[in-house]
Parts: sequence; structure tokens; C-alpha cells
Amino acid sequence: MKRFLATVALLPLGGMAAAQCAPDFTGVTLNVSTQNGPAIASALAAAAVGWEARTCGQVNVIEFPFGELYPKFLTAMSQQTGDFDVIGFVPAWLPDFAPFLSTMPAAMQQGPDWEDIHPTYRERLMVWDGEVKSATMDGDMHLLNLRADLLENPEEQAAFAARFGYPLAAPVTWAQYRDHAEFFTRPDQGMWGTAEAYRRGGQQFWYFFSRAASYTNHPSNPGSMFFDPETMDAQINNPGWLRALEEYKAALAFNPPGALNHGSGDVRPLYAGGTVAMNIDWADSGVLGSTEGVIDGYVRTAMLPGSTEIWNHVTDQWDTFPEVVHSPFLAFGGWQLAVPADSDNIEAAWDFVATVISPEVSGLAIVTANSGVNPFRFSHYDNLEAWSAIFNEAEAASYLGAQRASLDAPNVALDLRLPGFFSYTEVLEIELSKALAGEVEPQAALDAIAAEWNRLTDEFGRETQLAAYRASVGLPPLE
Amino acid sequence: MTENRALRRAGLVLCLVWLFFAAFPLYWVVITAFKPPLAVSQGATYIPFVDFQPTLQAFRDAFSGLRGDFWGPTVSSILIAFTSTILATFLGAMAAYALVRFQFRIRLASGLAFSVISVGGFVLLDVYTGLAVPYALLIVLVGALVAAIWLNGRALPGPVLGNDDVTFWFVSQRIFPPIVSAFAIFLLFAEIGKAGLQLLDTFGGMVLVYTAFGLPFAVWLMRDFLATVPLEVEEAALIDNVGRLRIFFQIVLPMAMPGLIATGMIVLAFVWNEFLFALLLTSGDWQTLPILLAGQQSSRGDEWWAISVAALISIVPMVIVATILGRLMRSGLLSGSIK
Repeated sequence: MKRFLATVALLPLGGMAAAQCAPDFTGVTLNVSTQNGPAIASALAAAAVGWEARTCGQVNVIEFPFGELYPKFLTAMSQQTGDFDVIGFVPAWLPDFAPFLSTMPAAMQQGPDWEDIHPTYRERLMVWDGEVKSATMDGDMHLLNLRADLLENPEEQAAFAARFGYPLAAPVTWAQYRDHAEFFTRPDQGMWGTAEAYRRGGQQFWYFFSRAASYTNHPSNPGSMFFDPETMDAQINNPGWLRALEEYKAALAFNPPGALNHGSGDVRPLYAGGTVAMNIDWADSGVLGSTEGVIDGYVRTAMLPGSTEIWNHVTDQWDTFPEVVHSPFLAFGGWQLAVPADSDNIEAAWDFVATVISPEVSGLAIVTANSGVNPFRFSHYDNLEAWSAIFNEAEAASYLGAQRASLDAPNVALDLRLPGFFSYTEVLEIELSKALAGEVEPQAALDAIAAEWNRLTDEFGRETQLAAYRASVGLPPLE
Repeated sequence: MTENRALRRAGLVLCLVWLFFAAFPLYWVVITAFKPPLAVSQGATYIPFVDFQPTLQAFRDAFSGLRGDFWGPTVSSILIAFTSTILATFLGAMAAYALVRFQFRIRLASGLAFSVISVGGFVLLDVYTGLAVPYALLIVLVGALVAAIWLNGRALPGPVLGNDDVTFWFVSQRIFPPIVSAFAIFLLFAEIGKAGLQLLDTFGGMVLVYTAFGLPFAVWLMRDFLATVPLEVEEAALIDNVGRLRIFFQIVLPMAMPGLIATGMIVLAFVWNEFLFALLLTSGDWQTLPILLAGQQSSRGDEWWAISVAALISIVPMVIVATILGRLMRSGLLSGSIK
């Protein structure tokens, strides 16, 4: 951390000799707000050191509990209190926030630094209604974390091949994922096959989405994963979602005891501590495993498994594909920065945002422990050497390779982004928890969610929601 | 004799069981604050150096500012909570004294008139004059109050409310959930801010809100304490021509000091732990400890070691205050006044 702060602080010194305060924001104090640190907030604070030295402005990082960020920002912006100059938030909230945000200056939307941002973020997640309203400062997606000490063990390889009839390697389908989980579930040795989050409020629904993407994100029907993009009818109770829920629930048998109470925060140390053979998580597990875990040196990361069968909601049947179709899910989508339109310091605020997401500053943040920043630029994925303090070469190659491959996948699945996001996910979590606990059948739970989603869509306005949904998945407006 | 001993032993056992239930959560928080992340997530560990190797990392993270600024919210909490508590207890004691010693007669019709004039007047001013919200509110509230006082002196029909009703009205403000008033206060403060007087994220605004928040408790509790103060002492003072204010400050308050301290501690505990108003009404300058505490649960999941450290830091000032006041109470320093 100290190294990071010192490096960031020294970055602008060369420039200062030629022109102090460029641009000159003397007397400007930016209120920059996000969730409580260390994740993201510490990265903003570190970037602020360099920005303050370069511009002579000041940055005040204001932190709030993650669970309260959405109402805090929305009430402040809708009442135009001018409390915040820069907000750090989640892409799912962009539809609700967009009316209150300023648009990114045109000068920031060109040049090599702009082109260096992966198009999935640059052209999709940062854009709302045709305008760039936010800037990605952290790339996020669900990944499959594995262990080389198990995958490369000749005895394990032989036993696995003998039992399942194919070689032990990173699973490429969810069926193979299940085989791996079952194979490595050995309670007598204190080891279980996998770890996923199942707890309500513990980010469970993203784990469900990650699996469902493989069965519902049909390449021929873009944007049809959550809703029918022609009618806005909920798709969450179709057979693709049902298969995902049944498999997600069945995987409980290969999770450590008490998995129904595990959130994403529990999944991480289970992997790093060597209790499980693999887990599904954001990019944090790999770093934890290699820095504080007992599996240091053996961390391997892969793209999420895919499927050869995907539900086609138009023809109402399963379509079979000759090759595995990967639909890596950009769960959460990473943290973004935006500048509220009621800020008194819009120019300075965007200049600060440009500093935070610049290749130099973000390049240091991604390799700084606890910064919470994950790669989102092409240059981040190419620079393996920067990771030498955390990973060995094989670890870094698989870690960055899996992330790059996920973003490059032709059938990459974006997270749900819709006005009223919390209303939709609230009922989802309630019914999902009931199904996982065995209180209701999976189909009944999904039917209940679909009914409530349709009701919410009508309540928010079907036409409005349809337009917003199509915009969020990159489809043009309906004629 | 044997039966007594058996009963005492049973009582002791029950007390020890209760002590265990009461103390275990605190013990758990303390040891969790010293656990490394893997010792938290890989099954329960109970004894430092045996089950796990304790570390000060969570404390280092907290005090280095990595998990948010602990120093600022701590100072804010102390300043806001103590000022609000003193004000609420003092004003509550005055209101409670009035309720104990004087008879109030409030005509329900005048109360209804106050509501109608204030709400109707505000709507009229807002719709037809376009007056800024704070000014419109000020005008109608002052106008409605003057009209209600004048009407109360008239022979209006309908029930007449007494002291118990007034007390209940105070308490009723704490019956409804805080969110009912919290958002309205946020909107009001935002409008006042637009008119030039900043109350959002200011010391004055927070003290104002928390004083109002603590006042119902203070009135309710102090009413009972003041009712136990012997009336004869005050009557003797009145015969000696001592004024009411002097009687209140120099005779009643000292005699009610244990009640004031107890009430103050209860109000302080409520204000110290209040979350919702602090969340809505503060941002960077006057954020309080409950916000920081809740913030330790982040998008990365429940980081219990950090939550435990934040919890320990947030209860230390309260433990110190409770210890000092408890010692004063036990020493009889404060209770001597009514002997």
C-alpha cells in the first residue's frame, strides 16, 4: 500500500517542474464518495494524492456502507443537494442514476487511453441511452478458480480419468464442473469439491445468474436472458433457468457444510485456505489464494463453464450446439465513477475520474492488495510482469487470460441493468432462498419470481422498462 | 439452613449461566478482532494462541485509515451525541417539570385548528405564491401557533386534553418508525439549504435532530423522577418568595440529579447508536460512528474481523462514560442531594 501511495504521489512530479497546477484547480475540493474501504475507496484515495499534486485541488473521499450507497446517492442527486462531485457505484444502478449524471467530456472519449479500455466496458457498461455517463474503474466478472496442486497431480489425474472417462482439466461445461466437484468432495480428508454463495444477502443471485447465462443467453436471440426483448415478459421461469436452479441447488452436496449460510465473503477464504478444490468468485479469490492462502503458487483461473445446449425462448425448445458455447457472466460489472450533474465542479471532477482510470494509476491499483480494482484495460491484461509480486508466471497467465477470454467471448453475458433493479432482485432473493432451502419446488419459485417481475414491469411502465432493457443490452429501440 | 445453601448455590449457577450468555458475545467480538481472515471463515475458533494465531492486522487497517476514517466519525459522534444529550435532557427536564407541577388544558379543537391552518396554509402558499418551502413553513407554523393559542382561550366545544395527553403526545413521536420522519427531515433540510441555511451534514443540523429525537425519552423519564421530588420543599421556597426558575435550577434539578444522569445515559445510548438519521443527514463532514460501523460490511462480503474492530472502537467511549457515571452514582455523590 505504501509503495502504491508513494508511486502515485511521485507520478506527477516530473510534470510539476514544467507547469505547476495543470490544469489549475486551486481552491476546488472534490467530494468523492463510494463504499467503505479498503476496496475501491483506498484506490480513490491513492489516486487523489497524485491528482492533488498535479492540479492543486483537494479530494475528500467520503465512504458509506455498501448497502446504503444506492439510496444515499439517489436521494442526494434527486434533491440536488450537490453533496457529491464524483460517485463510485455499480453498473446496475446506472439506469436509475443516469438522469442525474453529467455526460463524459468528448475529449475523454478519444485517444489511446480511451481505446485501451476493453470495448465491453467502453461501449456497453459505460453507456446509457447513447451517452457515456460513467467510467469503469474496476473490471468485474465471475471466474472459476482452480488448484494446480490437484489438477496436475498424476494420481488425481489417473483416478479422475478412470472414473469419468476424460482427462482432469479445467471444466468447460457445467456437467464437467459437477464431475469435478463430486470427485474432490472428500469429507474424511476435510476437503469439498467447490464453494459457491447461497446466502440471501450474500450475493447469491449473481451465482445463480452465472450458471443461468450458459443455458439462457442464446447467441441468436441477443438480450433475451432476463426478459423477452420484444415484449418485456420475464424469462426467469423458462426451462433454461430451471435447469440452472436445479444444478445450483444440487451443487450444495459438494459444498462444505453450512453452505446455505455462505456469502461471497465466505467462499473466498474457503478456496484460499485449501478447504475446497475450486470456487466461483470475482477476481479476489485468486489474489487471496496467492497472497494469504495455503495454495500459493497453485492458483489457476478459468473462464466460467459453458454449455452445448441453450434454451431458445422463441422456438420454445433446447438448441444444441456442436461446440461448447461460453457465456461468461459479468456479474456486478465492476465499479464505475460518474459525475452528478448538480456538482459545482464538473470539469475538475471529470479530470479526477480521468486520473483514476488512467493506464498508469489504474495499472498500479490492479496489483495493489485490497484496492479492489481488477483489470479493465487491454494494457492491464498484457502486462504479466506487473503481477510478479502476487503471482508466479503460470498463475498470472491463467488469471489474466481467463479475464481477457471472458470479455472477448462472443456470447459474453451482461448483468441485469434496469430501473428498479432492487425491486427485481429483492423478490428474486426471497424466492431463490426458499427454493434452495427446499421450502418450495424450483419451478414454483421461478414462477413466483416471473409473476412478480411482470407485475413490477407493469408498475414501472412496460414501455419504459422495455426501452431501458433494450438499451441496457445494446439493442436499438423498437420501431 | 441446608435448604438456603442449596437455593443460593442454584442461584449462583443460574447467575453464572446468565453471565456466560451475556459475556460470550463480547468475548466473541474481542477475539474475532484479533483473528486473521482464514481463522474466521474456516470453522469456529475460540481460544487465541491455541485455535488461531492472533494478529493486530485488523486494528492496523482501521487506524491507518484503510477501512475509512475512524478518527473523524469518533469525534463527530462524541460532539453530536453529548451536546444533543445535554440539550435533550435539560429541555426534557424543564418540560417534565411543567407537566408535573402545572395543569394544562388544551382544547382539542384548537389543536385541530393548528393542523388545518398549518397544512392548508402551506398548500395555499406553495401553490399560489410559489414561496420557497422554508419560508412558507415558517409563516404558516408561526401563524398557526398564534391562532391556536388564541383559540384555546375561547370557549370552543369538544374535549379538553390534560397533562397525561400531552405526555402521551411526546411519547407518540417515538412510536412510529424513524424512517417516517427521517426522509421528511432530509427533504426539509435540503430545502432550507437551498434557501441559504445549511443544515445537512452540519453540527447544528444533527444536534437539532438528535435533540428532538431524545426529547420524548427525556420528558417521559424525567416526569416520573420529578414526581418523586417532595412538593413541600418547593412550597417552603415559594413561601420564602423564591422564584420558579430559581426553584427549578437550585432546588429541583439538584434533587433530581440521579434521574437526570439516568435519563441522560439512556438518551445518550440511543443517540450514540442511531443510524438512519445519520445516514440520511450527513455525508463527509459530520458522519458518525454507526455509519462507519455498518460500512465494514462491504460488497466483498462480511469481513467480521473488521466489523469486530469497528464495534470495539465504537463502544469504548460509551463504556468509559457508563463507568464514570456508575461510580458517581454508587459513591452517593449524586444521590446525596435527596437524603
